[in-house]
Amino acid sequence: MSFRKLLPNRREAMILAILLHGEKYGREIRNLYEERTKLGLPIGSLYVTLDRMEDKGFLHSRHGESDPERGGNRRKYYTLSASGLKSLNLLREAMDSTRRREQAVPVN
Amino acid sequence: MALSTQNCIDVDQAFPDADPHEQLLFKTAFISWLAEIERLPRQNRKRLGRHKVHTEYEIDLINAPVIEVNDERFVRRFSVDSRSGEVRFVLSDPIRAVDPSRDPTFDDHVTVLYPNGKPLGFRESLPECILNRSAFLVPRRHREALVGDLLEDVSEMRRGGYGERFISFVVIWHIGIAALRRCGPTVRRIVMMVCINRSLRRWLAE
Repeated sequence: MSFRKLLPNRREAMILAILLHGEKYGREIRNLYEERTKLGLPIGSLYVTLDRMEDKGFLHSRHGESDPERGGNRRKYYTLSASGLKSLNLLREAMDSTRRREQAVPVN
Repeated sequence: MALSTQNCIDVDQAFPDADPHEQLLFKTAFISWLAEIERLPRQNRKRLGRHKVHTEYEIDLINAPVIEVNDERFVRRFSVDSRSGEVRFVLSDPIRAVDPSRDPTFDDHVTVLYPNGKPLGFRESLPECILNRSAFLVPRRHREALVGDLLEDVSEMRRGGYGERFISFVVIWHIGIAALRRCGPTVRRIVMMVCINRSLRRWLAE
């Protein structure tokens, strides 16, 4: 797998960070994402991203309970996988090393 | 009213009776929507612009059925007969196309051909404001989770006192993008313009 595929993009990284705090379903992830980034995220876009992340192995999912308020549709809960955690750490390391290099440049 | 990325959308004029908070939300939604279009490759935008997609495909989809999509990869082309208003998805595998005449729920105005396309099984649970109004393509893979989340949103918005028009707009926006993100750029662009035009025209007509 290429290095690029191992690293999450900005939206994926934010979702991974949200899932660090435990299992969440789509709407919870969307609400937390919007709260933290102050950017709108349509549920459709979210599920496309979640699908892609699942394909990459960053996440695991399971179907949860249905609810009359949801028209009998079950929730889909997502959890962080070991690979997702690893990719988040890779991203963090890459950002840290960039920051260190920037700080090491002498200011004239 | 023809819309394109080049045209300026005057949201204040389009929704004169919306309160300032709603106006702001409409604007945010429109900007996000147009931003999605802007992400399309430049070449595609040019090609589509030459064919005047936004005017050619101004069609009435109000009576279209709600359908689900089992695999967007099968869509190769999206064509519209401007006279009859017939919408046709041209598939890579024509054998799998569904004959709409066999399904009484497809009406005469709009024909949507899609492999295994069928009305959503739970359409009675969809909000009244969108039922029988629009053709939505909901990817099967996350249909249950997505529609469930949307219905939770709808309940919350109703509790929050939002109007039905606003709620239907939000729902259209969410579902529209759900479908479009996985389609090819051509289908995405056309469907998006149809959605925008239809939504705006409906509100303007009310």
